[in-house]
Amino acid sequence: MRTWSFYLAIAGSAAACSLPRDADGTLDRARHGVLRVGVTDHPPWDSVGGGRVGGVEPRMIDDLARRIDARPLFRSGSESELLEALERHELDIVAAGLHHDTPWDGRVALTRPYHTDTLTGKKYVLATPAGENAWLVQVEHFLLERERESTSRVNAP
Amino acid sequence: MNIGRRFEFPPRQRKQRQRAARLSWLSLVLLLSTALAVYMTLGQSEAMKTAWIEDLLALIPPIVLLAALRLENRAPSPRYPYGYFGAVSIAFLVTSALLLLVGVWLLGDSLSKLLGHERPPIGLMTLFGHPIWSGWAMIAALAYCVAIGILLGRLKKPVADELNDKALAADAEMNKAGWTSEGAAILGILLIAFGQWWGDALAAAFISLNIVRDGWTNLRQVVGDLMDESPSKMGSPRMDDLPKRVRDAAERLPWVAKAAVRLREQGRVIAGEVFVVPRTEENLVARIHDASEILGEVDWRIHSLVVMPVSELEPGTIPRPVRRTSDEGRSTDRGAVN
Repeated sequence: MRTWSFYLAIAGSAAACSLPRDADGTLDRARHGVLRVGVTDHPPWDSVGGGRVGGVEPRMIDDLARRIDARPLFRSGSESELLEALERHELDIVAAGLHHDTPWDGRVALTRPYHTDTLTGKKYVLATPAGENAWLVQVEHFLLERERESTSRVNAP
Repeated sequence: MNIGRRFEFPPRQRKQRQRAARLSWLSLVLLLSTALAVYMTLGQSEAMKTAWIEDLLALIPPIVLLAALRLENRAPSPRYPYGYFGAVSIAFLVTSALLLLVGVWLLGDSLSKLLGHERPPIGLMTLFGHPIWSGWAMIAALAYCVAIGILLGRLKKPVADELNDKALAADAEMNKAGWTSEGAAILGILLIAFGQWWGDALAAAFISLNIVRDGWTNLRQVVGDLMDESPSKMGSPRMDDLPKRVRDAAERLPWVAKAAVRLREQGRVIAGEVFVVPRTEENLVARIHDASEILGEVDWRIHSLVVMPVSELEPGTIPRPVRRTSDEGRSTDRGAVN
C-alpha cells in the first residue's frame, strides 16, 4: 500500500506545479511571442482570400492568442499540407474545419469539439501537435470557457 | 474396485477449494471494475491501452479456474471414462497461446510507436464539472488497479500453496504481473506530464513483456500437462520426488520384490501406474487391492493408481524416478533411464 500512496503523493505534488509540460515547449515559445497558425479556405469555418483571413475558427484563434499574449501568424494551404506541417511541429495549431472523426486523429492531437452540427451530428475540432500537452490543455481550457460563456449567455434571463 | 469414482478431496483441501472459488468470483468482479475504470480514462496513451488489455486478459484465468473447479468434481462418464480433467488443460492451452500472441502484438505496437517517435496527446476532461488533465484521472484509475492487483495476489497465494494448484498460482502470478504493469503505466504517464513523451511507449513495451512472460510460463506448464509430464513442484520446473516415494512404499510391502512407477498430473490430481514383481502369487488379487489403497495414501493428490503385477521388470522399461540428490539440475535427468 505504501508504494501507491507514494505515487499519489508524487501525482499530487506534481499537479501543484505547472504540469503537464510540452515535449517540445510549444506553449512556452508561443506565449509572449508568435503563434504559428495553419488555415485552409473552408467557409464558413475558415476563409482565406485577398490577403485576409476570416471565419469562425480564425476569430477563435485570435481570442486564444490574445489570452497568451501571442501574435498569430497565419499560413494558408491545403488540409494535408497544413497537418503534415503540424506533424513536423512547423505549426502550433491548424484551423481546417476538421471533424472529430478525421483519420488524422493520432498523428496530430485533436482538441475537444467547439461546435456540434445539430443536423449532421458532426463535431468540429482544432488540431495541435501530438505530445504538446501543456499547449493542448491551454487550448482546451480556452474552448471550455468559451463553451461555458455561450451557455450562460443563452440561459441568462 | 470402483473405476468410475469421482475424486474426493480431503476436508482441508475441500475448504480451500471453496475459498478458491470465492476468490475467483471476487477476482472477476474486481477486475471488471478496474477494466471499467481504465476504459473510462483510456484516451490516447499507449501504456493505458496496453494496461487495459492486460486487465481484460486477467479475467480469463479466474473463468477457467471456475470451470475447472466444476469439471473436476464431475464423475467420469461412459464417453469420458478418464474424467474431465483434460478440459481444463485445453482451456489453458488456448488462453496461454492467446496471451502470448497478444503480448507479442502489443510489444510490436509499442516498439513501433517508440521508434516512430509517436507522441501521446493527452488533453483535458471534465470531472463533475471541473476541468482536469486526463493524465491525473488515468493515474488515479491505475492506482486503483494496483491496489486491487496486490490484494488479489496476496489472497490467492496461500490458497494456491495449500491446494498445490498451479492454475491458481499462475493466476496469482498474473495479478502480480498486472499490478507491476500498472505501476509502470503510472510512471509512463508521469513522464508524459513532465514532457518526456517516450515514457508512455516504454511503459507499454514493459507491460507487453509482462504479458508475453505470462503467456510463455502458462504455455510451458500446460504443454507439460498435456504431454503427461511427471508431477513437478509448484512454481518450479523441478520434478517432484513423488514417483520415488510411491516406488519405495511399494517395495516396502513384504510380498513385493521390485516395483516401478510412472505418474502424471491431471490438473490438480495425479494418476498413474505401479508395476510390481510379486515374490509369490498367493492371494495376489487381495494384495493388489490393498496395495492400491495403501499407495494411494502416500499423497492426497493421487487419484487413480493402477497396480499391475508383472513377472519381471526389464531395466529401462520405465524411466527410474529421479533421486533427491540428482534432481538439482533441471532437465538433465528428465529422460533418465534405468
